[in-house]
Amino acid sequence: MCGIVGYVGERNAAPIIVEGLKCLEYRGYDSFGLAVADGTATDGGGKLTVVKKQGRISDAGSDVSLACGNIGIGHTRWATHGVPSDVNAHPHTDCTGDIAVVHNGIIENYAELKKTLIAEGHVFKSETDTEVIAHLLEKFRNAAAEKGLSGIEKVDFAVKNLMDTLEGSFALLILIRGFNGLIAIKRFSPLVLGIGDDELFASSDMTPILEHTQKILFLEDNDYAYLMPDGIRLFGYPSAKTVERDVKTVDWDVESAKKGGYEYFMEKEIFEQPAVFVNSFRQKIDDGAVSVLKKASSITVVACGSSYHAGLIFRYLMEKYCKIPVRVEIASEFLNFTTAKGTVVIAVTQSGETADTLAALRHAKANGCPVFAVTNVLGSSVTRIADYVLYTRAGPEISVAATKSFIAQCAVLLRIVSIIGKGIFEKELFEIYPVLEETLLFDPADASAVCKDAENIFYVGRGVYYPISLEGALKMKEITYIHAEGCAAGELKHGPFSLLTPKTPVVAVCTKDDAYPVMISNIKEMKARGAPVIAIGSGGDADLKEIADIFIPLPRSKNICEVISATIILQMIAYNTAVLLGRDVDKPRNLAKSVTVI
Amino acid sequence: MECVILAAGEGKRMRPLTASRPKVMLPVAGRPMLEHLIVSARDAGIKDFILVVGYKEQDIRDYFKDGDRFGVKIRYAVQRKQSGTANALLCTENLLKGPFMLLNGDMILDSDDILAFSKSSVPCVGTVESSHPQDFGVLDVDGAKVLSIVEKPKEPKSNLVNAGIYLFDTGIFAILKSLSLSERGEYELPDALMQYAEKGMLSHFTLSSWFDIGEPWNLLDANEKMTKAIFAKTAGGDGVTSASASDFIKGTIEDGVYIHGNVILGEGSVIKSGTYIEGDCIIGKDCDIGPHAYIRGCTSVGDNCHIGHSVEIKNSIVMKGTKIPHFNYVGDSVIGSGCNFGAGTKVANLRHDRRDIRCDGRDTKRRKFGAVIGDDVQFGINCSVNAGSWIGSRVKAAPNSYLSGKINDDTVLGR
Amino acid sequence: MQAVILAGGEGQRVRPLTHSQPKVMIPVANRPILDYVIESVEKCGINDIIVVAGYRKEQVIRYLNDLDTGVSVVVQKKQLGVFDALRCAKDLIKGDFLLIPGDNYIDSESLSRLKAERNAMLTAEHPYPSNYGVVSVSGGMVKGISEKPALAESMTVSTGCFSLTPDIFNYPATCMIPDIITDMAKNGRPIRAVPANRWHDAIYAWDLLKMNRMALEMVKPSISGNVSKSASITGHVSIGIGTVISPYAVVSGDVVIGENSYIGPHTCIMPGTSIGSRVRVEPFTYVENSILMDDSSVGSHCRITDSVIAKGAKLGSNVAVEPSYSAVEVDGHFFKAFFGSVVGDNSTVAPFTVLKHCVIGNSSAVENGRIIEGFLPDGSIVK
Repeated sequence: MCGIVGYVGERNAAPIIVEGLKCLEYRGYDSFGLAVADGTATDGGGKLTVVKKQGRISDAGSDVSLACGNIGIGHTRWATHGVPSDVNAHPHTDCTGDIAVVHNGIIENYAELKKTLIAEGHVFKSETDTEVIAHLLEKFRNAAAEKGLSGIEKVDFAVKNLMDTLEGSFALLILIRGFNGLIAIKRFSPLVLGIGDDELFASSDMTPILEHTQKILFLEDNDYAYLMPDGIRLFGYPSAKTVERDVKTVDWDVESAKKGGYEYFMEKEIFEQPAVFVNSFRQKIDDGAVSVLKKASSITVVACGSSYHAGLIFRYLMEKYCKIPVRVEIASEFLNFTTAKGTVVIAVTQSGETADTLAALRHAKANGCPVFAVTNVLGSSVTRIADYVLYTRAGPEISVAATKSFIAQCAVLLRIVSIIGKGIFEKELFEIYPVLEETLLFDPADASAVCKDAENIFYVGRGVYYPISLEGALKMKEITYIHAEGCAAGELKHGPFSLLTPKTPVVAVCTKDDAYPVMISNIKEMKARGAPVIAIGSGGDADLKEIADIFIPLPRSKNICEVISATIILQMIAYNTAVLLGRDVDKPRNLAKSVTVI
Repeated sequence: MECVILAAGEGKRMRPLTASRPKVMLPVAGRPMLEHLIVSARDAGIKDFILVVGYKEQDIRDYFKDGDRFGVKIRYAVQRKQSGTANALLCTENLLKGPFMLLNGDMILDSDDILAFSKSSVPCVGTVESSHPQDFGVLDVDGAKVLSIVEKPKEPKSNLVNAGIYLFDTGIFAILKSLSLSERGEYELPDALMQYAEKGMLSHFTLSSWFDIGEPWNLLDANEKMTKAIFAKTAGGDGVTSASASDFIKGTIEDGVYIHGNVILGEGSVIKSGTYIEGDCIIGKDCDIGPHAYIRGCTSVGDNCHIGHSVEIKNSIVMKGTKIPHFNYVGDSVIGSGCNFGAGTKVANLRHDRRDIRCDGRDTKRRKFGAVIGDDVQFGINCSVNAGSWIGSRVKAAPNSYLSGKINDDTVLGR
Repeated sequence: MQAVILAGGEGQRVRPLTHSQPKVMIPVANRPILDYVIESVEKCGINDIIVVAGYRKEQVIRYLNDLDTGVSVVVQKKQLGVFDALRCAKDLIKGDFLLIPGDNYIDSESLSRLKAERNAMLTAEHPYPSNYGVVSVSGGMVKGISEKPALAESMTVSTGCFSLTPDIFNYPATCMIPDIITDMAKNGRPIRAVPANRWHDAIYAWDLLKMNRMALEMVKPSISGNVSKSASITGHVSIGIGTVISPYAVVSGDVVIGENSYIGPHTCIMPGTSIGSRVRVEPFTYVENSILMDDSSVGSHCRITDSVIAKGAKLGSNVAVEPSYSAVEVDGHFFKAFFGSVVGDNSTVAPFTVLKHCVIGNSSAVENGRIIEGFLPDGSIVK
């Protein structure tokens, strides 16, 4: 469940909601829906229309245009509770059909709430956690009515009780028939408001809003707001008192990404990487951040997915060149661990909204650690939690599989190594641009031809090439749906060896660094099991070329540049294999771009 | 009658001045150029304005707000992408009810002209006679009727050019929408005009005065014209000395200041002894002028500026917060905000061969022109700025530097 | 009116410079040749542009995506000639159109005149017509084209720019453009020959220097970066963001320098020179009439004249180029041409080498200071 949009104003809401959802499609795309009401009708009157469907918003048909009214909410879903289907799509309504809710996040106590509500006679239509919200509101509104409350007081009472009752993370937009406005609630899930000329917007991120206004109000956790035609009323929970939040003017060009003649965005993004790396590495970094980093005695990186792999690469380089202990934790597991005071904690997240990473960062901050964020999105939630923000200069990444954002994260993390290591990589990386350009000339046809027929692929490497193998395997499985596993080369013989057959290709990354001799003997062992070996090595390595079935030489360059080149080679193999297999490369099944649920 | 003013564009030819403000907010005679246009229209009886904004819209909204301060009502429409004038006009569709006037925001008009024009039959296009019509949209007319409008023709059929002022009714929106997208992927206003012209419906009206502000040096001409206009209206035109023009003088003038001509001096500003002012000048609030400064020509100085000892400024626009403190000469120049001139830094404004000055490859058509200088430029002491220089924002120049030609934003002329 | 710009061919004769990019992407005065073509097309009032990419299409598309104006891209899978490339764009063509090669410079004035005609071609006079389709013209009409004839009947050649109508697609896919034009001319579909004003083609790598000088004249002078006030900058000079010009460097226009480059103290950058981005020119080096592409570097005390140094190539200190007018062998053919040296992508040249009228292929290494003459293929190692 991932992207939500809301509108209140004078225009017809439905087309605005649909366009907004299209901007948010990267957050999930297995189903969508919207609810529209005519707020100008007096209490009790008016119509509330709900349209929802399995499938992608970009395929939304004409039935959406039937919805008519000046207030609307919409949702594009990435299933967590309940399979993708018409009925599980948002918005969800209560028994009366007077209340419609869209939700991004997870209600942790929904099971018990649902049980109670059913016992009280509420009838549930879907398997989602969200539906309890609609029924709870119905219940609290009835309770309010019994107390003799009406109008805005009735809404106040219901919202306050709702926030008391719900546990978990949620950004909510709520439409109530007869209430001329919509209700926005934020707790640990992203939600921003936009202020236009006599119209208001709400959305999971600012992209859908920037089409209409540059004035953005960033809600804080436990804020709730009534978006009414005459303005926003903003309250804090639990005080229920009016709060003030800054309205920022965002000067951001809404340049919709175009893929030009590229077949997929992923291809486009792969080819943008030389400039992305250089821009991310060479950016100016705030003096305060530099002085904190220079004093760091230990560092912990928290991240998920590809970002986690970037963290691991950082770890190898930091420990090797700067002798500073680095821990890398998967964000969702981080809460299980303690962090010593004074440890610098770096959260790495492309979207800046990854729920697990945000939770981990809050945890670290509560422990009194200086916290850094490495993110690609200006003004995202992580930037409001972190003490220092280092931006990756990747630009919008549309493809679900991370490529340029990963490279940008590596660049920023390498910059941190460079800062702490007194400029160690500056000179080497000054020359990286032509090396990466040369890397992009690689033709992955041979390697992909081997991979496309495989059921399992192993990726092996030692040292810094171990996390790069993990990332290569992740790319492969994400977009080709072939099972791929990254492995430390030394670990193969402690288990995975038994899986090697002539039908399981091994992709080995083996440059001429310290681990070279052992890697060569590892590769020979794999060859002995009959596994076809695709070896990525330093340019001009005749020995490796001799051993491997397919040898992919990296452009001749410094060791540190080879790390980045090898990563790009692995991306290109995965991409080309997926294209050969006819996969929907940019939108692989079951995956969403930024995962804002825990 | 309602009036739509197009103010969404950046005005790329006005760079570097538009890097931090929209074109229509550039100062002319101490006020944003858009204010002059709105005031003229107001004096012609128009009370209801819709500003189409986009680039740096916040500056425009913050200054004009709902128009109360100017005795008019102002609403806003947002053009998110700058994709043509017709497209901008389409943004106002929901806000307009009857016939309306459409004005480009980057010109200065006479209120009598606007009044007369507003009485023309709808649809109508305002024109002016130009000595170089090939640079504009040229009209072919038959009496009051417009036959055609051709953009930048090689062989103009007349010297009447489109002035960017129109009368339309709401029927224009249907026409705009019926237009197919041009090759540029935009809705083009001239295409809509052509539809009217082909039906023989389009009339024209020739304005008596028209000031188009497209290039930075046009600001100097506009500044001179509007400054003189302000004094002509209120003081009867004749040169008045400081004492008798107390309405204009809100700041302090020390003894020993000689003022020959008209001056507006803002609150909190001080003109110190020995200063000599010739010509019509406008000085903003909280400025520190002199001692012994020499200001002449139609110079406009923004708020919070410092024009110091032994400094000569001639016929220039100096925007707020700029400091020109010691032994400087600045002539016929447009200077952005927050600049600092090192002692002895001077700007040349005349070529030895007396030819017209070129700036950024463009002919200023002025024999005297100094430089266009962006915001927050810092000059070391004794810098020399050649005539026709284009100096970007935040440029830093070491002492004794020689600046010439086009120097982009953020350039460092180091040791 | 639409324009179809052909950017699919490698341009083999400009090797070694087409290793990482097709000929259309080779920079002259720091802009790809294709950029000048697109600019001319837009200037003549055509905004619906279709580019046919093929060889190294990714690089072409990446560049096109960064343009302000929208350009449609179609991909030619195999490089099967001009007509095949044109056919790739067939589905996007709505009416009359211009067909323009993306790897020659052509001015917009000529295109305007071509645009005014239906069924016409731009012709030019060329001293070596045998490299082109030689056109026989009579009474302003094309009589026929003979492609790269050994003995040319006239000096008039085809620029490859045509004004065409969609019925050209009635010819079978296997046809070649010159045959089609000749056929049309013979069968009562007269093709008008429109002489071009300014047309320039670089056939071989060293020809780029001439195109570069021409393109440098069009550069708008402007200065950015960090420029020492004791550097001398005169004439038409453009310096990009982040570039450092050190004290006592002499930069004498026409010169263009890209972004984030470093020009050391006491260097001379003389007329006719284009220096790309992230290039290093170390102290006391003299560069004249040359192209130094992105990421290349030149050590101290070098003399580089009349040369093309490709992307990422690195010259050590004290390298001297000795230009001459003499014969070079390319693909078994001998050509006489004046130039100094052409150094391919990512090649390295050791200190104290003399480059005497030579072409060094991509990723080659001259490992010891010696005199290099003639042609070294890609990947050569000179010990």
